[in-house]
Amino acid sequence: MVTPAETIDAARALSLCDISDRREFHDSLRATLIKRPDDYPTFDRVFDAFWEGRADEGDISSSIPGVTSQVVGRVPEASSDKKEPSERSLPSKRYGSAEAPSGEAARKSALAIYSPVERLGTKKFTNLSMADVPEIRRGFKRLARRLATRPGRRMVRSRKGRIDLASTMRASLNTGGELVRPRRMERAISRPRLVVLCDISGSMDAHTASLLKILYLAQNTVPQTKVFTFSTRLTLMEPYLRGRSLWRAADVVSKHIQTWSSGTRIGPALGRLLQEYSALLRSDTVLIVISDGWEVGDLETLEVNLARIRKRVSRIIWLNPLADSPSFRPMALGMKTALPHLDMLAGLRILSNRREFERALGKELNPIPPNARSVWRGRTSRSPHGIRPQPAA
Amino acid sequence: MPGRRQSTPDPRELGRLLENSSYIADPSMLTTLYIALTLKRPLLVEGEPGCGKTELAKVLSDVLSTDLIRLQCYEGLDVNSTIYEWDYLRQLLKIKMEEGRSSSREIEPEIFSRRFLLKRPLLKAVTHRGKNPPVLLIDEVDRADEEFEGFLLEFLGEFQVTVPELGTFRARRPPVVVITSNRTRELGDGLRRRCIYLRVDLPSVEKELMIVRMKVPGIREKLAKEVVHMMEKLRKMEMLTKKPGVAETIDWASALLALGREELDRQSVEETLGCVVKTSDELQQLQLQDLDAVIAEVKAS
Repeated sequence: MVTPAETIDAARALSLCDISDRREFHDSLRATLIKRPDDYPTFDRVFDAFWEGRADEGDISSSIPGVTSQVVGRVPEASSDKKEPSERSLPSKRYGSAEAPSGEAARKSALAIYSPVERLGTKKFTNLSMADVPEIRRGFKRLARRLATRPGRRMVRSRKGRIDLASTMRASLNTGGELVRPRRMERAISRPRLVVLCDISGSMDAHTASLLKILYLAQNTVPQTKVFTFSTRLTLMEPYLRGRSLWRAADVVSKHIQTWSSGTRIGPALGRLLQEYSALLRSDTVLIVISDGWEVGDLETLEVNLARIRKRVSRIIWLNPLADSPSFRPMALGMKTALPHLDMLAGLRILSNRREFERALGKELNPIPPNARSVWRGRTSRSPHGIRPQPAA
Repeated sequence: MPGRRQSTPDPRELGRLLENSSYIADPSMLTTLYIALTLKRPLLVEGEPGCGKTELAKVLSDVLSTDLIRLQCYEGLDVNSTIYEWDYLRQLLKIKMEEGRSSSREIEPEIFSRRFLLKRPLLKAVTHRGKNPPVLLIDEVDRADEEFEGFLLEFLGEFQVTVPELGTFRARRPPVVVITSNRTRELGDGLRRRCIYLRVDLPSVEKELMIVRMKVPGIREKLAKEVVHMMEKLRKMEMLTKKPGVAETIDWASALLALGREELDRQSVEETLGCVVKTSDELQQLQLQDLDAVIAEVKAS
């Protein structure tokens, strides 16, 4: 989404450059308007269309696949004399629903709303109930808390631990410089980073509605969570899920996510994760795979990639919707191959049901240390980065 | 604005100045840089590790004849590492020395004076006195957490920081801000919007060759060409989870030069591959691979 502030920057930048030089014009606009490299190809296409004077709506939408065009703004006739920035109105690229900055000028220019994931089929998320939402949200918070067992780098106030010289000295001012009450600090328990990998291939169709809720809540509950879906390709879901309401997210997702009605290929998806997003797989990461394990691809790929990831992350948790049924046994080949590399295998219900959660995690993951709870709450409720003066004694 | 400001050199001039400091930038990068400097916006540089992001800030400070102030980000960054910290030990000493001689109320203003204030990068940038505004490098901001990002956004708007005991410090002129990120996580929209965006990619073969010639003086043209082509092949190999960057190319070329090699051969490659591939099982895999064939290919091109 391009904001007015950025549009002003772009206008100022254009006033500095030679607007008859295509490259300079292109670079100036790109540097000020486009802030994500994933958007570069789209910007290039729209820019090309604009520069070459293809003002007709039909032209643009036919040349770029998957595009819905809308009239956004008007562009003045291309001329070599520089106009005042205020007279000029620039084509803007939107990532989502359209918004039209007004402008005065000669010609209309069509705007492209481009979805990076080609639309091959739509999935309707009808009848999304809010039923489980609070429970699932709590489930995620619970899960994240349970997984947070590693001491991080931050120090926080505590009753035990090392002496915090800074706080102690500050407190001592009240007692005339005499160090009476030592303040202590210890390492805060750091949050785990969650990476959720969700299978959306044909076999998972039946669970679509609940999956959507789970993914949405996963993205928006615990900070620094990355959510991916995969069937034939790995897609980062953050732009679609983050910061919207559940219905809006469902709407966007149904328009943009393609599901392939074939079997699951978990192995290659893990491979893509390793290659492109390897920076996400750190020692404080917990990978959560949501899949039924009916692997159609090469089992060896699955095993090798899973083993590689296991070495890099803290834990791998597999949530299999089939495991919710009491008669479940991990028989599917994919599931069997993966099992030795997993820290935990459970059903989806552990997210919404507390008893199931405790049963699944009870023996498997370490209980959190007693003060971690207050630390957790303290951190999430703290206002922006400690610029506040330390509280007086 | 008080004082005479140095005007920003135009893109071509910038390119020349950067080259004088051994940094090769393509025209797009120069235009972006020029825009960021002229509009006085922070520059957000994102890209693969080892592609010259930090280097850009260093070279910029040379070109603009000013100081470089560096803030290295990591998780758990706090006020004491970014803005200021009191020199507690000296303060304690002072208090002990003044014991009995003055009351705590008298020594308080002395204790909390600039003498005992340790300035950290952001405060340094704000209180910098010099001919030109400093270059403030905020390195690897993606390693810091979201709370820091929020704070940074505020800071970038006002360039003012508060030390409770001393008051507010406001920058007389805004520093040139360069923020780098390795894309290990998504940065917030707020930060992106405020900055001018520059993406730094792995260079093309021609560009990399130019870089090697510049950074490794004395290297034979033949060796330089072979090294660069070999790097290209290595980067295409699927098995390497981490693509080696330009820094690795320079290291490797320097190592080969130091060993007195004039061209690539199997033995040299095996001995020096550690400069490029940094994981033991990948190194093993690579060694098992038919290196001869790869080397032959490289020599043919």
